[in-house]
Amino acid sequence: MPARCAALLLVSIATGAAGLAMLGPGDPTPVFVSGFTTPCRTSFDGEGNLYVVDLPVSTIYKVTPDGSTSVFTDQISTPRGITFDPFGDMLVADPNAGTVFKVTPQGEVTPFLEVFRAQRPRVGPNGDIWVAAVDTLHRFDAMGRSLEHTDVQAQGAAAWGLQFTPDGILYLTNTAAFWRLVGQTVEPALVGMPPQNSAPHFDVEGNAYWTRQAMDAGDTHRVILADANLTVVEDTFASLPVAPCAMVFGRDDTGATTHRVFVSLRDGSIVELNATGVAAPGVPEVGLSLADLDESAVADEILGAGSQVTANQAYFLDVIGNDDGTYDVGDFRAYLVAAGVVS
Amino acid sequence: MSNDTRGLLMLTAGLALAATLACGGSDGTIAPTGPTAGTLTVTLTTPNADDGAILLELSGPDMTQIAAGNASLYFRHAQDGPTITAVLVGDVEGGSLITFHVPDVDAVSSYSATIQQVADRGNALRGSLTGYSLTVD
Repeated sequence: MPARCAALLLVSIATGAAGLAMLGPGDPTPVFVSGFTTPCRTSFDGEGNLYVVDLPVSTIYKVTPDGSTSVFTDQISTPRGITFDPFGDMLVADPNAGTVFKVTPQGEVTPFLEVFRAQRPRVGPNGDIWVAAVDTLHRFDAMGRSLEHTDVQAQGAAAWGLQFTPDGILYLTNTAAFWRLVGQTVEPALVGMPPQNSAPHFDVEGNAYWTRQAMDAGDTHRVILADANLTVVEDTFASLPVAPCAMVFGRDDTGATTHRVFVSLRDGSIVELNATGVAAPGVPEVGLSLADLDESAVADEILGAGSQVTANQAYFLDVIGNDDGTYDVGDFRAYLVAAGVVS
Repeated sequence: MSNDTRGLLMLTAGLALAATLACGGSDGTIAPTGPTAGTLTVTLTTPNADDGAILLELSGPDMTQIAAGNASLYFRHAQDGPTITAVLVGDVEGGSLITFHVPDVDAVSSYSATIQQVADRGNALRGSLTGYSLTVD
């Protein structure tokens, strides 16, 4: 073989080997949808539709499971973190307005919560709404009544991102550290990381996935996998061609969270990880929704026919009812009205 | 036997025969009396015009075919032997709430109903049940 050809062959093999070495369990990562500018906030509704906040154009798009894209709303001036509340309405944090807006499935926008520098809303296991506001963490009940706020900055933390573990532990994050909330105390969970990490997203087994943007030459934009102790088990779970800026576990048309994981990239595309490499479905982003409640169980609970609802569900039912501290027939009425069973 | 005695015996037999025919069937037997199965009703008296939900308990033997007395209300119940717990939701008003079938309507005093909770149409639980009552008839 001529020397020149042999050299080319060796380079090809080395490049291929290097490429193969970069592949992780979450690879490959095909494009799911593209055409955005900076799609750096995402969430799924209970019907399996993906919603994308395109930051520079202040527009929230709706992407159906078949990839069809349309404008959901452009009525919020600075939309940032989004999620869905227990009633199926979207919550949108607008830090410039100091407001979390509620958006109905029909796109009707109304102010819901007043939160200075609101960045990210999340619904917890009992339906309470948590809002990350950089130096402060706020908690509201499902009806929007303020319950408490925690000065996280005074405890050396920051609240830009929020995620719940399967055990209901709330993690707050900035780009270089994760903290967990225990009562009103913020405890370090993983600090001192290289910057440009997203918040961890937990699956139901407690594994954590997060993205990291490469900052140094030779580094790789990637998805990292850690176990429930936040010990990294796959430093390159998946390689990303472009800097990432968000990730989310998908939901199917029943609202159940799936093994599918979607990562937003700064080239305006959203890619999907290899679902077969994802160990378990994600923790439900909406910790408790009205649709999760079974009418028979809720009715049997009021009839004393055994304990049919969880403590979190009973709390939620009281919150949406008369909020007197116990689940009673007035709360049952409120549930039937909210569920559309009784007018 | 004297003629007087014989006549008295015949009169007695005739009277007995007449009584039997009056009281019995055509074959002369006496038909027994017994319980009458039927429907009883739980009726609400309320001092308010804006009741939105009511939880009640009904007690008594052999209750079946429990049904809402007002079809416009949401109704659900659970039965544990002689005790029924029931909930009705909607624009609750005074009047028939529940009907149920019993083997003997004449034993109506064997049945009782008590109110557990009442909520108004704003979902607030009534703090007092003064003026509320349930009757079974």
